[in-house]
Amino acid sequence: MKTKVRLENVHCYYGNFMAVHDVTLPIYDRQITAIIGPSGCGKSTLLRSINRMNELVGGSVRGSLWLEEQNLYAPEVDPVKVRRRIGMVFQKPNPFPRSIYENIAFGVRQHKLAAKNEIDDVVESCLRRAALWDEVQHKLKMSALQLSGGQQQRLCIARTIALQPDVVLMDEPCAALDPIGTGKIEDLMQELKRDYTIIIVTHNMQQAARASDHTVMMMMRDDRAGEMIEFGETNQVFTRPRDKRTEDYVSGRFG
Amino acid sequence: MSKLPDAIPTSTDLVRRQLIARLGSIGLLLSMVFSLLALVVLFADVIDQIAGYTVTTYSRDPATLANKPLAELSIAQLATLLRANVSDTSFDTFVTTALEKKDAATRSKLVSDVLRAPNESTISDIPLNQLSALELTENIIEARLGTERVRALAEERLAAATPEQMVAFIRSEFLSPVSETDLTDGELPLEKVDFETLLTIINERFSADQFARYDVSELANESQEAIIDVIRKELVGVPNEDAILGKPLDEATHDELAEFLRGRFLEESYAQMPAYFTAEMTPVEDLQKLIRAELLQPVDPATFSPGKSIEQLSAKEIVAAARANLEPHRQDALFAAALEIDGRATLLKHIEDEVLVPSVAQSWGLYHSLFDRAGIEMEAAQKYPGAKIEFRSWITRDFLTNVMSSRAEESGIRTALLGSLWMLALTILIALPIGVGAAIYLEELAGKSRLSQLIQINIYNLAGVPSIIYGMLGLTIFVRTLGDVMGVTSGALFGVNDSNGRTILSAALTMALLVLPLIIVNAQEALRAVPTTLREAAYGIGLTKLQTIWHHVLPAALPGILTGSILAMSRAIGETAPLIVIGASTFITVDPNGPFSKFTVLPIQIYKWTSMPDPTFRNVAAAAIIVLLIVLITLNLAAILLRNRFRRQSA
Repeated sequence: MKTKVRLENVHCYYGNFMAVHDVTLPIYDRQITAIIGPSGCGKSTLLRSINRMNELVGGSVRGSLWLEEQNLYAPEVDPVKVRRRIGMVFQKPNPFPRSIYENIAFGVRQHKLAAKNEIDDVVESCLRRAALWDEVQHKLKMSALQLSGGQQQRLCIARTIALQPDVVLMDEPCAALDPIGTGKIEDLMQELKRDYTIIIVTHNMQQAARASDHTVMMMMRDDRAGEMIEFGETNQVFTRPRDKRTEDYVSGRFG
Repeated sequence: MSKLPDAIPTSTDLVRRQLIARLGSIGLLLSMVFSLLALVVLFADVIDQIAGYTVTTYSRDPATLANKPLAELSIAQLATLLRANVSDTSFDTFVTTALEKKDAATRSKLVSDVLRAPNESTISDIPLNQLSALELTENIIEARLGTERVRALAEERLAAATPEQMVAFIRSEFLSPVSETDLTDGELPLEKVDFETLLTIINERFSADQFARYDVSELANESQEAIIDVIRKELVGVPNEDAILGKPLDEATHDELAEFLRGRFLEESYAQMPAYFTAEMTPVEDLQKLIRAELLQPVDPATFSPGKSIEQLSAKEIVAAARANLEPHRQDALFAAALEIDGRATLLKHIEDEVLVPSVAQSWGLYHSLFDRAGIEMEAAQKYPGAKIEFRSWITRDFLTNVMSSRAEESGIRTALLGSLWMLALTILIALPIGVGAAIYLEELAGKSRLSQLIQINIYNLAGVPSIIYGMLGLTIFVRTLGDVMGVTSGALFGVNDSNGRTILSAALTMALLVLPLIIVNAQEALRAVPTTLREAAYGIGLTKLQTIWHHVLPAALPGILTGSILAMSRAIGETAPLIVIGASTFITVDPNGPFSKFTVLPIQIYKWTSMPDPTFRNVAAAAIIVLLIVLITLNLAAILLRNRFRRQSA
């Protein structure tokens, strides 16, 4: 399997506080990698450091992070470009307060990814891929905020893939959704896996077990820094964990 | 598992809590009622002043101005009336102003029409040869030729008359028999008339000769019968011919007779002499000939304006030439034609303003007027007998379009309203971009350094600085330094030289400083209220910081920013103190026409009017307050609608 993203000795900091300690990890191309662990163990921080979103809230990274052959933290790298190539879907659905159509077209237009007359096609294909087209094709001018939570989240996914990213980061995308919405998102992830590398942070063990190919288990140390305690194929991590703490956690005996 | 406390006094607790809650909500309700009440009282007070009964007194009684109501007079008659009652200078100004509204060609046509030989029908509806000598004299010659000419004609006629003609005239006019009842207007016998009236008869009727023979002051001491005797002897019956000149009329010379006639008519009215005299003694044909010669001839344009053609004359020169070179009837015709350009309403207004000069002697409040009309009428009748009492609203269209005046009835807020709008527009133009820019910088870009915190605290403090301080700042910086010295705000740099630094621009800059903290603080609040998730979404699709702010954060914050701007606008339009300090004009009649104009604003007008000694200005001030409130409410409403539109769009 080809490695898409590679983390080497990554430490994440907020000011002087170390939030994540020394993570070395390969993310495989066109696979779904799940990051699990108890609250506060640095899962989201690690995820956000991949597309340099943590910098916006004062975070910093020591170590190196590679997207294919490019070090994402090299001095000449523009974080804005990184975020364009590594898209992100957030815990709470956050469509722009504009029309459904505009939510997707805006980024496409900003980055000049399609000619003016092709934007309609891009919008349609993205909505189709996000399995939303059938539901919204007659109300594209409607405000995105009028959609249901699940629809909004799928719209956010459509908005992300419209920029043709290499990697899609998902930060607990189903936390605010009901089981039906969750199911649809999970189906969608399997669908998207064919074209994109997906990294998902989740609290839902079943979801991780069901949907992911690889699992990263993180745990908080005594100094409150998070560290990776186990990485492997999902099947292995859930059935034959190497670490005792992982076993306790996935079986619900801990946390 | 923790154990519950032993005894929880549920019932008493509940009653007490509900009591406290009820008291609390009553307190809150009262505070709301109180603030509403204050507002209602304020409005009621203002509204009471804006309409009500007023008593108007005139410096001249309109009823005595003409023998008909003004509304029934023709324009020509109104023009004559105006001319007779105002100074030549102001009358000329009216005519000149009217003439200046037309171009030179139209004016010259107007003049030519007057110079042309008039048709007979223009001076008399009935053909001249069907009129009697008396009618010709009274209705045409006297009415149209002017006193001087008539006097000259009368002298001519006297000179031409033979003594016999004069004697015959005197006999028919003055020596007809007089009866007792002719003397008393009520046609009573002399015995029935009281003593005073008898003395009056003597005073009015005695000739100089008779006064010489009787001492009137002694007669007053006589008995009534004695006086009646004197009257019977001297005034009743055929008058004594010889008494008139002190000798028989037939022996009198031409000069003596002429002098008598002149004197006799001068006592009454000189103009009456020819009416009787010439009519008696001149053949009708001569009068017709005179009229045709004097009134129906064209005037040579060269005599009207020597050395210049009429087209070259300015309106002012036309008026001067008319006064110098035209006969009175032609002057009147020309002036009437000129005033007709302005129209009847303007003419009537001139008469009202210059001749009648109405002034509100007293006004009553609206509520008083509505509920106690009878009382007001009684009070008015007592204090101002005969004066007109009418219901008057002080907010009228004229009030909006008139400029200021020293008379309350004529005062308007045109300049103040325009000044306020100009200032407001400039203020928003200056303060909004700067304020929003500063807010964006502080909120999105500056970070949390010590310096930015210091700036933040200062902005909060500035929002609380008394506005008069800003006035002083504006006076020093914008009026003096930037204006008088550097010529930026006075417009001297831009070629506008007729102004000092006390301009709309200075005022707007000062106001902008004043409202800037308000706008910044409100805009910051609005930016802060934009959810982080929206920013994350924007960054998540690879937008830069500026793109994120411009495309997503700012639109989302716009409703809030607009709300802040509404507050700022309201503050700016109602602010008075700083403008007084920087020197807004308190009396100005010229519309502001740009940022470098002198100006005044509504609150300053209101402030000025409330401090006028004439109580009528209170009504004007109240009307201005209402206008100010309407402007405020309109602006706020517009901004709120705008805000709601944005909000709907982004929702």
